[in-house]
Amino acid sequence: MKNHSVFLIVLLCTVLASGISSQVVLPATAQEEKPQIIIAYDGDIDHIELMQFRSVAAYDATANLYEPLITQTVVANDSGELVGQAEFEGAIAESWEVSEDGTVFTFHLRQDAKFADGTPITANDYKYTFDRAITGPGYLALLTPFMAIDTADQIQVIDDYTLQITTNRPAALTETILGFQVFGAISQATASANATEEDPWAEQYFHQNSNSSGPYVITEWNQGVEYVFEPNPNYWRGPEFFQNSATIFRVVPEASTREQLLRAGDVDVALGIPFSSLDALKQDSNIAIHAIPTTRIYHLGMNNNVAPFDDVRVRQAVSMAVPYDAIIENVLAGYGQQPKSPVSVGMEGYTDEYWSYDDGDLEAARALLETAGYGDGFEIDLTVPQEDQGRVDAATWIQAGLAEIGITVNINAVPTAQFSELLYSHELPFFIEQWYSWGNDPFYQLTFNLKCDAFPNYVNYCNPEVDALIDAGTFSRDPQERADLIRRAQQIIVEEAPWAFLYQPDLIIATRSNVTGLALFNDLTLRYAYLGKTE
Amino acid sequence: MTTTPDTGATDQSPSLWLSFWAILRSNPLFRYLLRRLGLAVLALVGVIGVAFFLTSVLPGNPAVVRAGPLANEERIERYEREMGLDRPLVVQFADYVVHLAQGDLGESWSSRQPAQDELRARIPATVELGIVAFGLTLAISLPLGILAAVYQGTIIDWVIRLFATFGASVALFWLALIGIHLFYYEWDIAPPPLDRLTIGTEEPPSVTGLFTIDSLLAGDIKTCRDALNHLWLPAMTLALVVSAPMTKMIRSAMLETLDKDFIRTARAVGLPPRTIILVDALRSAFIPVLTTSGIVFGYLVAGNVIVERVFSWAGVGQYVWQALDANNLNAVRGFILLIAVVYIVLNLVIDLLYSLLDPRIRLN
Repeated sequence: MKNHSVFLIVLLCTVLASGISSQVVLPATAQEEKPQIIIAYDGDIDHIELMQFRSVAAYDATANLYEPLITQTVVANDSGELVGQAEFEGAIAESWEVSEDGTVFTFHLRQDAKFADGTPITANDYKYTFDRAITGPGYLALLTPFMAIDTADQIQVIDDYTLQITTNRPAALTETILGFQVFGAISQATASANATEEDPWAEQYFHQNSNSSGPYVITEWNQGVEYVFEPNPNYWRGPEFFQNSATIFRVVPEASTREQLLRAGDVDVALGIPFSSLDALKQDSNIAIHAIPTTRIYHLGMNNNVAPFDDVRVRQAVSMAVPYDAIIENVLAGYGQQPKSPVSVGMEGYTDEYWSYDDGDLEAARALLETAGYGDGFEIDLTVPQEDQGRVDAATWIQAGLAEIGITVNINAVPTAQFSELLYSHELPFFIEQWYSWGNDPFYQLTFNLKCDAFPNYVNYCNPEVDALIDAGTFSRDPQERADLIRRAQQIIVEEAPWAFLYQPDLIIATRSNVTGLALFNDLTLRYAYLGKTE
Repeated sequence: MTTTPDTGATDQSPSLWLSFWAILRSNPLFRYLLRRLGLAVLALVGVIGVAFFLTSVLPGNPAVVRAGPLANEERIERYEREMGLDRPLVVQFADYVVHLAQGDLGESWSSRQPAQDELRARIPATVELGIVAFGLTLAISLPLGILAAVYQGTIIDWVIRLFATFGASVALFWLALIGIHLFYYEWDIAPPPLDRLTIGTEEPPSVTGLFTIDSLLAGDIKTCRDALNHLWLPAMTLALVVSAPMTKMIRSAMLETLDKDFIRTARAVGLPPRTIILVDALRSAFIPVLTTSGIVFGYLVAGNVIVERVFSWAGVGQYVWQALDANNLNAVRGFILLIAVVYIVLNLVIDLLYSLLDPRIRLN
């Protein structure tokens, strides 16, 4: 008991100390004095073609290679993490104006910003990037509608350093999406030098090359093993912005190996540490565990087109019988929270006031099933991807919970690739799926997941009133109006229960305790430049 | 027709060929090789077909994997077109074979690079680990197997058999983790389990792709030592597990030969026991040992997913594991072909070695 409290005090002091030291960001005098940061990643980069990469690791890589027009501001919190704010600041754009009605954005670019090869970054390069996004390869054409941009002519070059974007109507997410690295500048000259007739957008070249507009350049590319990120000498913020002399990305597929490497101090940061290891790791005073609440939401999908889930009472009964607390306690080891609406906890406009499916209210659940004509229960397959141990474990808790109200659940764990294919058929009756909204926006989240014609709406939920609410909110720049709209949408959806809202796991980043400058932007990618070390 | 001189020439060369052929045909080794090569080609053709069609029926649609979470029907259809998945399977197979004949395994769908380049980059890591592990396996199992046979029924035999049972029943994953925990974390005598060289070490100029050999060729002793330093623990982990069946095999082969008449005769004429065991007995015990060695060596160079994963070793085993997960079919097919070639070549070499070791075995 006594030992325990001493440990807690030590831990508290360490946390406080690391918090203080990172707030005082010391400008490093010479490049040589800055440390190297070694990060153990749990997965490999597939490629870094900005508009088509698929791996999680490539989000991090590209966020450090491509510079958008504007970026989120960050503020240090008590634990020394730099947390992204709702405000934006200029990146390559020095300043910008928005017209009164919120549809015309005029960006004034810095005249000293350069690509890694030393050529200036101009409005033409951003124009090229948007053309590529809207008419070229990749999935970005699905994102631009959130900025009310449908065609490439809406982006216009006024002069070399002035870019004008005209949206069809006011959109809430314009700044947020412009701040994503996928709208970072691609050098038009580099692209055209490497384009061919079959490959007009130089996709092949950009799979492993970047001519970076962002803070880093990749100086060593050893796929499956290591990528070395060194500061881009031409980066507009200059050398003093970097808290490290290089960031080394190492692929370490096995979780236990990552843990041992971190304990021994051979890596500075380890990603993908399982929840079950955290208690043991916390005992080590050289290690800091950053458990960052995220808006990634796991839900139990019930296909609204398939019996018995076409009956709202069955969906409500299931929502009542799921043992939410037990799942968070056992599957996430407590590192997570329970959303009580389709909008994630921590997102603008989230409310739990319409939640009425209290944990363990089994009498009410049985009564609902009875009136729906399933008094004797029923048998159903619950499909989960077998590689995601968390979802497989959650399924067993759901199985136990639903057994209490007479529903027999058979867990059907299938390979991830097969799981996606089944989901995409829109015929899977019962499954656990997850979603992360890149822009952290409630309307964005609902648009993709619960609008009638949305492709990822795998439960086939459809309510025209909800659709109208989502559209109205997406294209409103008035915070009060948006708050009212999202409130009403949550009320309807919680009541109609197309999903049982399961959990939001924390993002776990384990570091050596002398590592500073963990920056958390909306997109949850690691920005290497802030990472430094104290002695 | 003005081709009369040519006709003359073609008339002549077949006869030349035929006489050459006749000489060759009388050579049993050549006839044997020819037959084996023919069989190998047949086997390879079979493997290509099986590899292609089996992977094609794997659940999951690669176009769906590429399209990602923001997918829609239109995009999935576009990717199916781009990746050629919208064509009938037979057409896809014909296309695959045509490209294969040109040494093209197709695009690795996750990295968008040629699959043969990626496999080529990964093979040396696996082969180097496999060779060292095989060397260690022999170094462990030969002496143990012989000792156990010579001292059959004694405490020595008993201890060695206990070791073999342990090796056969231990989980490779667990053994690899324990190895890292003790030798790297606790005692600090193994380097960090991070691939083949210390971070920041320059790879030696590539000749064979094996860092130990390439660094020696470049006269770089330091890198060679670093490579060996990274090799011994994963190799030892593999060797401990596979030396269990090898030891048992050697022991029983030795026991059988030690019982033979010629050994009794050798003993009777007073040859020293060491000569009898290490020369006469071992030589004839080698035939079954060779068969097992072939299987073990094939297993070791085929890329061990578990050891490669735990030691962050970027070999073909890990590569195919990721490829399977991502429905990256061209990469998986390339791997299957690679393994087929390894086993076909190994079997051929072993059969040839049989005849060298044992004159009683005739090639035909």
